[in-house]
Amino acid sequence: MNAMGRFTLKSLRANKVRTAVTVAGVALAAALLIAVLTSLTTLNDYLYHAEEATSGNWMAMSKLDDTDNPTQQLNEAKEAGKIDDYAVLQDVGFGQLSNKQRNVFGYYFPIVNISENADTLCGIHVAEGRMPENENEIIVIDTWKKREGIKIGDTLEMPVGQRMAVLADNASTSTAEQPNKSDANSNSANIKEGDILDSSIEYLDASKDGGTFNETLTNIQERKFSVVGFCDYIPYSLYSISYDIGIAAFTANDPNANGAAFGYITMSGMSNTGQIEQRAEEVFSNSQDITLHSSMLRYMWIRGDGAIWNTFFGIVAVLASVIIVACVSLIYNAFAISVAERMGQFGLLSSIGASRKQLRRSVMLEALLVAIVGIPLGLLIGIGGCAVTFAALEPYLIVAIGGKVPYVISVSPWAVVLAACLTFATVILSVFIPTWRVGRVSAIDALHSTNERRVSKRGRKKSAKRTDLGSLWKKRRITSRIFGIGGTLAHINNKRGTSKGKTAAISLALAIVLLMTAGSLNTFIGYLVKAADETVKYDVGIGAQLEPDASLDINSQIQIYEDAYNSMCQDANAQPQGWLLSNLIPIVFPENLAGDSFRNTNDSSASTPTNGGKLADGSYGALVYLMYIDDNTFNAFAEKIGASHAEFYNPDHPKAIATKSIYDNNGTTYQLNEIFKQSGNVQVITGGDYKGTPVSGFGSEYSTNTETGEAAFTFVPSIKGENDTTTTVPMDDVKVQTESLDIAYLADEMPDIVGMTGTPRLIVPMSLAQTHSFGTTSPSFSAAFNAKDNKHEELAESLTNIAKNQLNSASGEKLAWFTVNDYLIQQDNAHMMATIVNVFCLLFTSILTLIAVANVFNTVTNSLILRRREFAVMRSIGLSDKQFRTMIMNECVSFGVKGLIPGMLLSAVVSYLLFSMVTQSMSGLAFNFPWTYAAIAIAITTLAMGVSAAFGMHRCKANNVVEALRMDNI
Amino acid sequence: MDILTVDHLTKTYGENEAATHALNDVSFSVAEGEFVAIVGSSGSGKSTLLHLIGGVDRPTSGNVSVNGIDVYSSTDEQLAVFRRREVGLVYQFYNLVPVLNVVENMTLPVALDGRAVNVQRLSVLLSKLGLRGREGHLPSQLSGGQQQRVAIGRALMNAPSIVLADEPTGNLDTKNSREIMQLLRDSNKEMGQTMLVITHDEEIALSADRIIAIEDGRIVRDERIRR
Repeated sequence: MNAMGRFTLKSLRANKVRTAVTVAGVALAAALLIAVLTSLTTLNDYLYHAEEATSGNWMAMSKLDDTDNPTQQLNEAKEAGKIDDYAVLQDVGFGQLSNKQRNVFGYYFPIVNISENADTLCGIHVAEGRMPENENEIIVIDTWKKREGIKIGDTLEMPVGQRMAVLADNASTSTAEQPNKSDANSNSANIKEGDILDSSIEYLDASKDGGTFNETLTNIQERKFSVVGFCDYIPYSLYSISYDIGIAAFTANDPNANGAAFGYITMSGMSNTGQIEQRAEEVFSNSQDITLHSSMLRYMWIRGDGAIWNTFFGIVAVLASVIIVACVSLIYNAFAISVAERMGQFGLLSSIGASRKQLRRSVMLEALLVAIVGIPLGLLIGIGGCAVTFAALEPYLIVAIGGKVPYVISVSPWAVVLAACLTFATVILSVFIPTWRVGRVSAIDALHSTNERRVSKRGRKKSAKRTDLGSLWKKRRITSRIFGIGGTLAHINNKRGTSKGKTAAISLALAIVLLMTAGSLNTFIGYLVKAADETVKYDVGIGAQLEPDASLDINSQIQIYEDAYNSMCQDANAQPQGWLLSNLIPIVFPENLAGDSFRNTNDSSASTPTNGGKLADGSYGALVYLMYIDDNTFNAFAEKIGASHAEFYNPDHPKAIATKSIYDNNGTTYQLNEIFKQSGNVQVITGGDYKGTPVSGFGSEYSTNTETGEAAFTFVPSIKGENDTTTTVPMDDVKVQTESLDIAYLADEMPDIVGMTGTPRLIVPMSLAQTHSFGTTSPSFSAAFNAKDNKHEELAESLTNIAKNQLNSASGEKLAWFTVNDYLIQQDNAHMMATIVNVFCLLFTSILTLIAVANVFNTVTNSLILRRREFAVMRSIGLSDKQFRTMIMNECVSFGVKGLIPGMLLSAVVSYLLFSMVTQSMSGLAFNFPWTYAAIAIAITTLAMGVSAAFGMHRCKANNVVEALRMDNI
Repeated sequence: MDILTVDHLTKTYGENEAATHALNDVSFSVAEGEFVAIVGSSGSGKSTLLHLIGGVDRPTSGNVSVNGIDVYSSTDEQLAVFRRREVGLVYQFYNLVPVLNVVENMTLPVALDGRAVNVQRLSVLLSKLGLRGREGHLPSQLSGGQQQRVAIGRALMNAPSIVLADEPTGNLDTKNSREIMQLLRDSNKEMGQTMLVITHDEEIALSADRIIAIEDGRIVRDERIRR
């Protein structure tokens, strides 16, 4: 090593604190980069494995035409190298279940023949036992073990047949068709009488789905199967088996299987979904019925066309830029300070003959040494931090998929290389300017200018003017009047000095931008996550409706439901969350209330709620849910949104709370649909009279005015005819009864039990029903419960028994329908993703905050420490501590103002960029500058500046005046 | 009357075996209007003595009283007031505030004290110091000699009880050195300003009323020059 090298090393060693600060800056930058990259790869890896475990790793699937030898076609494709692997699932038949079993397992026992590789491709795994090997062996869901006491080795005996469509009793013609509601065959032909139904078609029940067909089993044979294994999970994303018909059981190598067959394939070398679709079309030789495993493909980084991808890459691009800028600034400041402090040294070296090249090399060497120590350190810190965060996160993630996939940090080598290279590039970029400055410095300048702040040209001009002896130190400015000489000195420093204040101001501006980026990210991602994860917020939901009964008025119904709810609350595992009755009702309201979503009915690209719009007379109409919420829940909610609950109980002046907006998803973009622009009075259509016959219900439709081409919204009343048939009648011929209802409040959120998706909602307290019963049909009942100790399965079962007993037998009434939903079981990827995204945002926010604060600390502290000799002089001639503090405080305020305003402007730009990324996949959002985060950002920045200034002053004072004055130039 | 009394002043750096006595039990007093030169080799403790008298440092033991004020019994805040009113400091390296112009630097102690600038005195000082026409210049626009004149102006502006100068000519050429010393002597004679000047220059030392020689933190010689 040459002399300059040794000198560099020595000076690094001699200035331990400064070296440590520089190394820390580099390490922090590397840590941030690797943390972001590792989070991405780890989450992706985890989601990939989770998806693989729950649904298999197939990439495309389709129905196969050849049911006699379904594997042949795929085998040929595999041999031709078109696909990597394949699996075939083929219907064997549908087992008949007892009524009791039907309650647990669904309509049938669908038996599916699986080919080799179905375990990895389709995610069919045995939790106990082994996979089936022949047509007499079967694996079933482990509910059979829990509920029916079946053990491995037991034999299941049941009649097995084919599903066949039969015309419902009241349907009139034998040529009737109805759309095929299949998950896998959305484009298949309509269902006709006598059609054999495959496992992808939902159960047909004309009385429930409103169609014209029922179904029956045909070609029934007695079959015996030996149970060889249990699955704890049936992959529900197997699109070939409808969720609706039952829980599938799997057998293998059945030579007689000749039902509908579905092929699942994997392939390699694909970079986008279009290529996969094309290849799948070649393999399956059909182009209509191909389903892609889109979530899997997303985790394989195969690009799709969805808007969410544009959002994702947009956000990543904005964040990456912010990170790079933050890192460059941090490292640049660290080096600039190091070089500035050593200017005198360089002057000395230059005076004893060091060339510019040697000086530049010295700084470059310093950068290199700092990078060699800082980058690996940062990588370790970043990866370690990720490992700790993810370890802490694991319990929350595994809940979602039952702990099937271990959550391990995945550090990809390219991420490490990329982070290291980016950081190194940042270091080189950051030392370039200081190095150039070092090379430019002349020996004398460097020796002289040491520790002397440079005065700007403007400052020189200003000072030249201030020579009137009579008006020296006159308190002209308000700061001088309030803060005295400290304020005046600060003002002079700010007006006449160069660069150092600016560095601090820039770092403050940057801090604001960083914090606001994090804030905006949280805000806008929050919208997206909320829209995607608008899942139910309670564990078990009960829904029911009593058979319409003319003799049963609304208050008697409330009594029955309330009794049922109170009985359910008695269950030891139940934590009641409230109950409600709801009705779909028509309302009419003036234009000034109508939200945007009702106004865009002409624009087909705009988001439109399905049931609302401009009526022919210019006012607006909509079908909304009117929900009577139990008084306790209603009161609590009213208080929460700042309303007085008492005002909602006045029978002479009924009032409601309405959703301001609702979430929707039109397939490509999430939407936040504005429902109401402002609160106000609406007219509720409570009933109607069609030529003496009461209207039984209201539907709605859009029609186009043939003259103007404008879409008009109309209500479609219907009346009950003979045999309970329903006929629609023209609205113009109906005399409607209306009642006035005040929408007193518009709420951004609704109580958990109400929800925020789909149809607009108005809520009123239950007691209002005693005097005001809106709606022409009998209401439906919903109740929500959380489960104590996570015993949601037991709770769902016991609530079902209690509710059915209460509503059916005890009340003497009949139930029209009853549902129970165990939402904990249904918690899906959306929820898991939401958790992950939230944690990621938190992580990102913390790191950005750290960088912002570190940067402010670095610049502010150093700008003071570099001036300690100047301060010592002032103190030696009588500057008191108080005056010193006032001066620094005033200077800080002025940095603050200089940094805050550009910082805010820049933040608004970054914030808007992020917003426009998010709106690509979510419409109906208005841009709101995140003021709360702005306030937080300003508070954090001010605090950081205050602490830094205090530390800087402390350091200046700790160096006592004598030492500071004596401080050598070198 | 004694304007300065130094009483058993000791300043020790470090502890136990590593302890160094920068000043070791130094006592003397200076009468009002006296011009005292302090001489001694490098590291003998001269500057430490000056800083202790000026109230910018605190001693390990001993007392200093200036114009009847017991310097070290004051609080930090009182000490700051003491420095701006009772003491004028002149350094070898001038130590001007870089962003302030000539008149602002000179009047800074007055401004710190919150008092109005005595325009007449300032005007007289500017003339005497030869700084007329340079009122608006910044330190970086002045030569070394000019900067030192500003520093002297700053020290004299408040008419302090005592001016402490630490090698005020150490950084100047002969011509400038003579001029600066003449300025100090003039203010001593004409304004009766008490002066304590550290110097290596024998000629300067001999022009003082009294020479105090310090070696290894002790006074080894204290003599009055008889003219």
